[in-house]
Amino acid sequence: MTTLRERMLIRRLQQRDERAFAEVMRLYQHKVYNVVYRMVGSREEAEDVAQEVFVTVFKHVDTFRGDAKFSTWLYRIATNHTRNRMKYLGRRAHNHTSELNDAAERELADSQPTAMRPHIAGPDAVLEGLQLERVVQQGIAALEPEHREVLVLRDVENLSYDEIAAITGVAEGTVKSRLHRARLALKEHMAKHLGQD
Amino acid sequence: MDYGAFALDHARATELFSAYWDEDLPAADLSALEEHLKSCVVCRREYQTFERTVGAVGQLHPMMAPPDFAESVRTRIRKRSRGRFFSPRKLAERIPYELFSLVMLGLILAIYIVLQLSHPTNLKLP
Repeated sequence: MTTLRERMLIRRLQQRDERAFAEVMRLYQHKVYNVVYRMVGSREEAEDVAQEVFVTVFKHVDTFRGDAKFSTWLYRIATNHTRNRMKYLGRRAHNHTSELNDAAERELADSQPTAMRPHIAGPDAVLEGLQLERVVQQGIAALEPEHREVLVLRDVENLSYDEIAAITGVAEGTVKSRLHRARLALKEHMAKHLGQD
Repeated sequence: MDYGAFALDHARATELFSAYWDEDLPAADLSALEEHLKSCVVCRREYQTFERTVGAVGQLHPMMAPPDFAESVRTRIRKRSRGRFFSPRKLAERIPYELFSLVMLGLILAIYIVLQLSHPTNLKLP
């Protein structure tokens, strides 16, 4: 259910209030961008998809009835757009896996300025952190799309099972089993690439 | 489910890792898994890797949208709506139809009464 504050914000959006637009962007742009980025693994794609998410939100805000939280509705639009983009990219890059991996490497190497990184760690710790982050992101990118989305929504965004079920449109039990499969697959990836047991 | 002290095998124990991490295990499964982890080195090591993996996902740095992101969205919306999206809506679009109808009815009634009162001999209230 929406809160009173959310309802007022949505009403202002439905009235095409530009300040409400700015408020929604301030509240959600980084969350949406982060979720999309973690699922598609590319800054360029993430920026384009996240922009499309907000265009859809504003285009269809009149249809939002308030029977779910606004953030749930927003995440649903974000996962739908991301799913479609992943399908498209998957088809396009079917035979270009190495190209994608190279792109992912470059993304991670370049990602430092826009990610919030602590500045107190020493060079070794920073390198180790970057290495770990790269392996994790590659592991996420290697997951099945439906596994990837539940993992990101749960372990990156810390959403509850029922919120994820509402966002993805699958039963809570399915969310749990997909999440478990995703975590195990990622564990195998980490063990393989970081030499963990 | 009721397990004997060592009734869990590796496969079953692994199946419970995710719910254990999320603190979502029923009491019976919880104690069976914890007992198993105490006695099984292989599963304990597997769980430690599992913990490190899920922990690492949670530690990923949040990626921030580029500084001009909101402006790019605004531009895209303006372009697609040909500048109409953020234009103020017409009065009739902003006022709910129900309220508009009530006001109009009241106005018609008021005009009717005023007209009738100006000719008291013909006074016929609706």
